[in-house]
Amino acid sequence: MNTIENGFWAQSLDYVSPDLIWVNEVPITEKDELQREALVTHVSDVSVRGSKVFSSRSVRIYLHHDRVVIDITTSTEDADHRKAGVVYLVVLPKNDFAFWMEGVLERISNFAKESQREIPTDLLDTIRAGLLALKGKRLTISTAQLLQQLDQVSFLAGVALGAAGGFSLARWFLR
Amino acid sequence: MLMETPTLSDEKLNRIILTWSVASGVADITPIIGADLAAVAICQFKMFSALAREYGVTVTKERFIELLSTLVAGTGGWAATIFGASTLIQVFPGIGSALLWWQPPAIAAFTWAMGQVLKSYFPLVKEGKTWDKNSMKSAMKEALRRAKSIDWKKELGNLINWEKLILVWKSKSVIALGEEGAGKTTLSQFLQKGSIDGKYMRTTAPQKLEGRQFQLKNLNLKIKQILDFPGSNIAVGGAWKDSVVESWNDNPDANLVLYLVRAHFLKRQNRQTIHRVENDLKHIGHWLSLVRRKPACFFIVVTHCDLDQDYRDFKEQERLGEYEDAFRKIPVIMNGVLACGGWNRVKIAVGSLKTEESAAELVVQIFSQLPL
Repeated sequence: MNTIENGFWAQSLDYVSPDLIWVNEVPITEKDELQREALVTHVSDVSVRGSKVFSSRSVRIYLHHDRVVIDITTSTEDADHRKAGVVYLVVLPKNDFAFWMEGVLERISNFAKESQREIPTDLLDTIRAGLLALKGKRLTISTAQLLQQLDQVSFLAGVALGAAGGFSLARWFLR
Repeated sequence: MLMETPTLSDEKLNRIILTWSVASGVADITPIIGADLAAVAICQFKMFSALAREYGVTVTKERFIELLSTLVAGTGGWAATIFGASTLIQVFPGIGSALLWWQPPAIAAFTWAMGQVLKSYFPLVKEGKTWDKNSMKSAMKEALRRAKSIDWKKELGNLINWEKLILVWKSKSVIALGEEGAGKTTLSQFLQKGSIDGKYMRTTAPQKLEGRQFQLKNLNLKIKQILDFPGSNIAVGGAWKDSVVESWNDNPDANLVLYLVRAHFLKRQNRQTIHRVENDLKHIGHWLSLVRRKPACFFIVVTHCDLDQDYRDFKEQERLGEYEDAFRKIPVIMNGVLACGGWNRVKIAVGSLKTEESAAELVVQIFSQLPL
């Protein structure tokens, strides 16, 4: 099974056909059930455990570690007249964010065309705005980790100081 | 006629002190600076006056000023602590956290010590003796000796009704599962907002929704969070399984799993639905075998009943029990329930999510079946 660098998931419109799954830009058929399930599990992992960094009526973006899930409500309606969704899972880049963002938008457009889901230009603009919210997040993650470690150290230092203070107070009192 | 002086019970005094100490610790959790101090001060004043009443000491203007000056000194101390903590938080967040975590127990301990000191103060005041630094010091020593000798576990156990406390704090996380269009998002949104707007988009990426506390009929519901999953069958083996197994392993009784299915599809024996329900319940039965401690129950929630004429008729005749029984007898439900441990574990609820009233009825039906 390939490592998932990016993947698309679009539920079937007629509730009968299989959902459309692409992993690393390759369509995955029902024969490869494991790969299909793996993508869905990754998506779920990011959207449930991660944080929502952007939310509008039609676009929600989640981030968990360096994984991003873009949940798009397209203009296409399914058999139940509900707006169909397209989900894109992708890894946040280490650098050249602008290049990465243009690539993401292009791949979303291509998938929409191939899967016959309608993503109008204004929706693409919303996705672009949402992706901009991710800019600098990679740096923020490592900074946050560093701060978390500092926080733990300072917490222990605080406890030690508190205990020392309490001990001195008790000693003064018992003199 | 001689007035009989009531005998002071040390046990009763200790109970008063302990009650207000715990209350002041809890009051300190008040998340508004200033309000927490006021809440703590109120608890301490209540303790002061309760003890004064026990000793038969009148809280005079003089004593009240004495108490106020103590409180002002205390307030100054806490203001300095808060200022110091907020400054430290900016530099090292951990120190702030340490202070915040230690503050409520420290406040409780301080109030307890204050109560013990009052136990030495009030007899002196009653006898008209003076209260100086030495009396304070010996009272504090006495308090320390008591703190060492007291059986805290027993005292706290007597003070707090833990069972009641646990029940109050017990809240549920809800996981909504089921095939596409079964009403998972509608139910989730209702649990989150209490309203139904009827225009939901199809759920693709699972949604984690914040819960709330609300009253429905005679039920006080506390929902921590709601997980709304997509109904797609490829989500079952991975996304559904991971969340359900993890939440059951974490705390089976705090995580309520609801499996939604459409009434009319079941009754009409819709081939796709029957196959799906059979498969899903088999999976849930398997997940139940994987968890360390099984939940007391999980629910099959039959929705869209408003589309079934029988439901409307039975409801009108107040014979919903018979309508529900009809679903219990559907082979795919019977087999699924068997795979999940029988009707002792699997509960059923039938209804509709068409309107807020019907959704409320369905939610009440679910939650009122939960074991206490």
